[in-house]
Amino acid sequence: MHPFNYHAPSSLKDAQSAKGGDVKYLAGGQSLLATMKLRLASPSDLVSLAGIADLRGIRADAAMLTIGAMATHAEVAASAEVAAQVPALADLAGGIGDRQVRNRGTMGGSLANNDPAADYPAAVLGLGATVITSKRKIVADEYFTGLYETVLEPREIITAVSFPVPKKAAYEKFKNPASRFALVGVFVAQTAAGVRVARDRCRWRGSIPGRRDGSRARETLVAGVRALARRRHERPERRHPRERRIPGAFGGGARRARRGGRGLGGRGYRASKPPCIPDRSTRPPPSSPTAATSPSGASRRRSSSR
Amino acid sequence: MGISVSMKVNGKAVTAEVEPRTLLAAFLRETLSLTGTHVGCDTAQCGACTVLVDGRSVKSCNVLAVQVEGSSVTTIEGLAPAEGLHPMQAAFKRHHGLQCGFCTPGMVLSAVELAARPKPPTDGEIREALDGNFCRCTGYQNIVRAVKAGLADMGGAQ
Repeated sequence: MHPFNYHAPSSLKDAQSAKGGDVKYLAGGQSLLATMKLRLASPSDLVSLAGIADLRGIRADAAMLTIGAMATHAEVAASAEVAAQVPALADLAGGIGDRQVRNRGTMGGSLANNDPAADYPAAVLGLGATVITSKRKIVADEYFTGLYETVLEPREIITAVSFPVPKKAAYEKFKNPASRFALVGVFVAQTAAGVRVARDRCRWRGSIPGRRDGSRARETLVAGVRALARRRHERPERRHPRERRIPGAFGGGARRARRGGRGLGGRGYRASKPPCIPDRSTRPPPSSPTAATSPSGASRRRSSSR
Repeated sequence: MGISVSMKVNGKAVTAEVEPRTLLAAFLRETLSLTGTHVGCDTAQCGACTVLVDGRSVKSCNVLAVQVEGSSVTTIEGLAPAEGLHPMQAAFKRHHGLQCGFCTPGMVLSAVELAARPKPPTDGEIREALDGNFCRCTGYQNIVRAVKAGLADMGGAQ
């Protein structure tokens, strides 16, 4: 990563007034540091919030659960207060990333970053929480503005999040089998005002159906399930017609799988690759010009010769 | 450009001048020559660089050295007694919980953290707990066995 100046203030005031042009606030660093290592972010100054005692702690009363922005996922998952008031939130926190990430990553950091594959945004929306910052209080419905975007201004620091205690709540997500990030996550809560549903993103190519407010939750869930189905290389004929036309974010493998016939991708992948040294005996007859250029033709031929 | 950082590493107080961008993994390996902490993926996925910071497992490739100022760090070098092996290391050896051994320092430290849990984890819980540690050799069966045995031995030793 690029060099930067490091500040470790012990008060919120010092953190807000830290010197530097392009200041970024460092919470647990589980997303920010990785981003900086890839040089997708190169702040001139990094201000650690770890030394600010006001940002810590979990407080609960009958109607409200308030969690400090620097509470780690592991702390939220293990908190007796959270387990008693909003068990779904403890459950959500205990399922973020892996154990090492949960020991460092924080609620405030997750919400400030607003990764579409993050888990907390769905809880904040689903429970109708309030994000408390160094400048103001922001209701959940107004906080998130887009992928990785929020209404936070430069030098505005999340201090805590208050969650109204619901009657019932639950969170469920589909994990990407490799990265374990949520392909889609849905938080549902029965509150005094009614039922709220919120979702995290699904990795749906092109436009993302549904909105953060959950008004199109059903479509979103369906899209998430389809995205999963595509990853698992379901038989093409069982897919939605529109998906067959779209190669998809992971489409390379799926497309090759389809060319190689149904079933798993491995065979199709090998078969669709032209051999480095063309072998005369496996070359298509010259009378068949389509087969000469079509990988699917090649795969059919090779499959049948095995 | 340098900034002073002080911490305890394996029980010994350490103070050094580092660049702010120095990762904890680099600090341990390059400044302190503690090369038992392995860097596998360098993207906080594989867990080979896992160390304990104040008793909690973290991926040292995703933490700045300056962030652990004042903390107590345990690496694989600090786990074993002067002679012999830590019970968890012994269990990994006994149950063949490693083949190439590259992931093992991270696996062992990650497993040691589980001893702080109020009751011994089940096989399923061990697998879930090792979500952040990748092993490309063993297929995990013997690792789970080793962790279970290691935790039992650690409980007995205390």
